[in-house]
Amino acid sequence: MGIDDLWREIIIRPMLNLLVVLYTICFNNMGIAIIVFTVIVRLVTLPLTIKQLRQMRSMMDLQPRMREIQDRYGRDRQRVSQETMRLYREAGVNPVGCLGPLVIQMPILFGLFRVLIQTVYSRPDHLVALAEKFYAWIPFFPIYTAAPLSATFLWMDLSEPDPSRVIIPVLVFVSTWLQQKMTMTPSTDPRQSTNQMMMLWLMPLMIAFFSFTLPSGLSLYWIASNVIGIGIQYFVTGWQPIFPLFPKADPVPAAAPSSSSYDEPEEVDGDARTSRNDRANRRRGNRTGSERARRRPRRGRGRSTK
Amino acid sequence: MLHPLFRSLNQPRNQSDPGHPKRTGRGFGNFLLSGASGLSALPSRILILAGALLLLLSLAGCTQNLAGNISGWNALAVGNEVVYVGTKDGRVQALTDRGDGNLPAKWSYPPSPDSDDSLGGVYGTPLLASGLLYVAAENGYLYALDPENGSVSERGWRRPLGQDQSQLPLVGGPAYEPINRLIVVGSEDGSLYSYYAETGEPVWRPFQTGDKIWSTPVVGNLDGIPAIYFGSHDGNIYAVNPANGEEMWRFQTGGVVAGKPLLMDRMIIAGSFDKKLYAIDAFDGSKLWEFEGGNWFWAGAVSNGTTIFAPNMDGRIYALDRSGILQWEFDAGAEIVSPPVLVPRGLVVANRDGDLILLDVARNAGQRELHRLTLGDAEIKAPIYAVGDTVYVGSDDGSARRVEVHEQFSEAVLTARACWKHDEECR
Repeated sequence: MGIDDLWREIIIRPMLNLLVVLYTICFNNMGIAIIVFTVIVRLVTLPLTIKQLRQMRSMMDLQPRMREIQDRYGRDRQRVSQETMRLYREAGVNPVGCLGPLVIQMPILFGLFRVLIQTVYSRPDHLVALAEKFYAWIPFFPIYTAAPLSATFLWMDLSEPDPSRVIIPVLVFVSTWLQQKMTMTPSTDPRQSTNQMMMLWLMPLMIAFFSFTLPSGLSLYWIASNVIGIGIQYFVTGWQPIFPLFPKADPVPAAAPSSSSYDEPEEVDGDARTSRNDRANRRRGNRTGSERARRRPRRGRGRSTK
Repeated sequence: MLHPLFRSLNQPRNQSDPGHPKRTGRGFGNFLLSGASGLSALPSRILILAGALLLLLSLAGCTQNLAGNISGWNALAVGNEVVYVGTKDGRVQALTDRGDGNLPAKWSYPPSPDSDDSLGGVYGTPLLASGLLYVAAENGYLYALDPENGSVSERGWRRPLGQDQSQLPLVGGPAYEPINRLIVVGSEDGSLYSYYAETGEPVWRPFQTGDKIWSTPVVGNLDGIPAIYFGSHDGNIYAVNPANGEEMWRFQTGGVVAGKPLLMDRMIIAGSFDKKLYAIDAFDGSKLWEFEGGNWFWAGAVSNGTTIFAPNMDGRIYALDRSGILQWEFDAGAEIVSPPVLVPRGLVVANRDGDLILLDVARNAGQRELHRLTLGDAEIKAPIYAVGDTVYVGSDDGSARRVEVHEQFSEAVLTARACWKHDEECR
């Protein structure tokens, strides 16, 4: 069995049959079928998503200690990375653990692209290829008679890019940006923080750009997935991570949520002030600011675990 | 207030650490976290390996033909020692067939594949009738070419089908109705169009169905009553009066009817995507019987007068008697999109694996497969064409082959005698 066969049997066929079954259940509407499909995918990957959130939470908790390491071994990069890895190990944090849901999403996205082409493009060749991919053993659902599937949903042909050229790309951009903003892990490293800010804008822009040319069914999946992701994130953190909407690339304020509780908003201002002082102190090479920053998390953590 | 789940996320992971208090949060958040915490026990290497495997699979998915840029099925027809191929590069290619090992090019329309007049591809079998070659093309045009030189300007004509400039593709082939001298062809816009065969002038207002038409029409004349029979994506099999384009009857099936119906005695035999083959009274459209296969009935059935041979997308040929009783079935090993053809020594079936199989239809039991010839890796989806003991095959690799059925050591075998491929060596 080659890699193509594996791809077909593990990804394409299960996904395709599930989508066609959902299509027959959802009143022969591919748009609703894709949304329900997305909900199922997000439910299946929910443990990974929760794991990701947990890893992020742990990473945030470790920020003060990481800053401590940087302060202590700032010039010795190798030592910094060794100590950081040791810290991760001790805390049981896997720095690449956050990528789990993203990695899972990739084959689903590629697979859905292929599945959409094969199911909603009703050219003779696509239909011929479709017939061999149906599971003959699926009972109750008339998947054979469902084909060729109708690709119409609202104003769109789901096999083609959004004809308005605006609505779907904007929705893709906004939902991706919001999702990313809510899940962004604050960093103490100025470079990393700048990178995060760049990613916050570049990633949604890039995906929105892709949605100009990709089938709108794929964009629909992406938007639905983002909305569900935002919903899950809301259960975890509320809306606070979204604000301020357009923060500057400043690493220190980003650490504030880890030290201060979200249920004490009045402290945020104080922390922000402290952060500004801290930044100024660091520029002057003053250790006092770092000491203060080191103390803050303990205080915050103590409160939150009461 | 902090949401319970967020509060639980604030709890330290390392519960055994005496410095950290035990998690006391309850509710949905903790429920989720307790379910997810098992994953953290998985070694990172396993997760990374699983991730790498998924990425590899994703890349494999990317390497496949994403655009699905397919142009027809390389359908062909034969007449007057010339093979006419609707090539995948958007042309009609005429090949001289002298019965030797070569199929030299005679003419092509348009002369260059890069021409603006490109047909886009051809799915349905071209039709030689009334002194012209009729080709229904992917670009939405119906062509009537001079079979001698491929010209449309002197004797031929071409007509765009559809009401506007954005013609939808033509998948089904054309059919000739000799009494009124009409050419009829169905379009993806759901209409059946009629033209005078010689002039290309429209005859009656297009007959409208509820969905696309991929089915090649079949023309019948029962007891002096001519009729055009065809199927549609709306699930109906229609009978239309060729004199005025009015509906005579329709029969509703449970799925798409994409194949060419078979007119046998006074029955119309047509398959549907509801996995059933239907026999319908050709006069009134009432159902006589139905037979259920394993998958879609796409390609049209053929008959030798006593038995109906119905190909199915489950890879089987079902042989039924006139009452719809199964006589035997044969597994060809892959989906059958191309309708089979009858030759004096049996039935020739082409499957998607590129196999050409000769079946003995005379015997009642035992070994039915007489010979199997594999024509490379290319799929065969275009209708194959038989003239006596010779079978012509257009494959997805753009080749056209002449295959002969002959005796070898007292056994019937299939042998490829000649092959043509545009600008490439053909084996």
